[in-house]
Amino acid sequence: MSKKTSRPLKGVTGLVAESEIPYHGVRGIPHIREPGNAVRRKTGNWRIFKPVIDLEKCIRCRQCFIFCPDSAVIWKNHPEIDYWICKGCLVCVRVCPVKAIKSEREQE
Amino acid sequence: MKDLIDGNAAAAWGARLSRVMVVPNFPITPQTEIIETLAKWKETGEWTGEFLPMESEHSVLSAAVASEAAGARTFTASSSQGLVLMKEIHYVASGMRLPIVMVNCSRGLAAPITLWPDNNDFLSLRDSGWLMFFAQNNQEVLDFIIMAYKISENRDVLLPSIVNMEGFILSYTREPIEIPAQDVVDSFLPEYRPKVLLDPEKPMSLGVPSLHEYMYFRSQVHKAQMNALNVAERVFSEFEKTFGRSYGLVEKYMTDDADSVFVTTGSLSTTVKAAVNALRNEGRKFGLVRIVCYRPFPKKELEFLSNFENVIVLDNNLSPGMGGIVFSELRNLATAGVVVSLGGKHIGRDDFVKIGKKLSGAKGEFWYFGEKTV
Repeated sequence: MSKKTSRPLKGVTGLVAESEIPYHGVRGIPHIREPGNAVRRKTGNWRIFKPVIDLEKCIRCRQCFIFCPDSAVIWKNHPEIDYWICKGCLVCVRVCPVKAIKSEREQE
Repeated sequence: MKDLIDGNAAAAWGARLSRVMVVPNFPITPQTEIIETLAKWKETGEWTGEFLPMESEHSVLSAAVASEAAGARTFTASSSQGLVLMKEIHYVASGMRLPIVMVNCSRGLAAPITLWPDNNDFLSLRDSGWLMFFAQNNQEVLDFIIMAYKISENRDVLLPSIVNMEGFILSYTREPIEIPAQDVVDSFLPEYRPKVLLDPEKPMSLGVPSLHEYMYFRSQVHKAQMNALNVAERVFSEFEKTFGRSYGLVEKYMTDDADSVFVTTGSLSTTVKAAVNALRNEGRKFGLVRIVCYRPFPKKELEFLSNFENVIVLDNNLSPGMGGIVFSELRNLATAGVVVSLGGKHIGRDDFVKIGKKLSGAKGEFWYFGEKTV
């Protein structure tokens, strides 16, 4: 989003006379000019249910790692969930053959 | 029967109660549930029409033109990008005078891509010759579909109709709805009996080229639109007698003693009504005028706007290079125009209260970007 540069009418934030709307040139065009920036977008706050892995039960079969549609499961000799990225689709819960992944309701 | 359903389900009920025979369709958010609901009824046998999944919206409306020309009552629905893909055929349907009825779940047009509502997709049909109705709640979505068939199929009109609801705000929000009984709807909306139709026994061509006569035929579309004003009013009063809910080309809310009014369309109106109540509590005499029937445009019914000190037009649409579209049409009567809520940007009661206070006495064109960004 661009910086606040237009002059709102006194007393009401956001209400602007049309003549006061600034022109931002190419900054006002909806392009993303930088590759590989999706990692910076937090999608973890979309979650309603959060998958939690019980490493005691986990048999390291890598099913969750393979099936995660967003590569939110990272493999470090055992699975680990990147909660910044994980949207909570719970595919991992479904595919786990030993039911080592539980879904927990996200708190506010 | 009372039920708690969302706008999409209300639209599907409207189609089912109107006994539509053909539904060519293509999915698009936020309209898909209309098609899903009809597909489910088709499977269970609750609705027995022809369900035609097509390969694009352009094909959807082409199929609708064909089936309506063959004498079948036809229904379809679309949204945003889908509606503008249909565009070429919209003009064909009105020129061929085919009383198709469709629903649009309005959604802002790309780019940038959005899923949230504004009325630019719907208002792009402004000059297409379709009758255009703005529903403000889910009950109106259902009622307007039934009434739209009756208005469209009138021999003095014979034009297609489109009913608009805001995507998400109505399409995915449940409200208590009165679903009328089928036999009552049947008594109100008789079977479609076209005067001219495609018949393999008597072959003919429809929508043929004409050069010198083009202007004459388009003038007839205009005349039919103007006839629709009277026909719509008759249908509204007949609807009230049958179903008990009253509608008009223009809705007036607390305008009798008002000195200032907002002019709105669609679901924005329900929020603005709350703002009008809040402004009244503070002793400010505000009212609301809602345009229900956008084409034909109820010019006469809106002339009374000249009686008010402030006429603030709220547009959740934009004609870049001109401004709000409804404000442009009311330029001789309105004092201020505000572009609000493009792409469904949040706007609430308190925002309208602020706008109302601030723009009392102001003239010109304004934008409301909301609290966060400009």
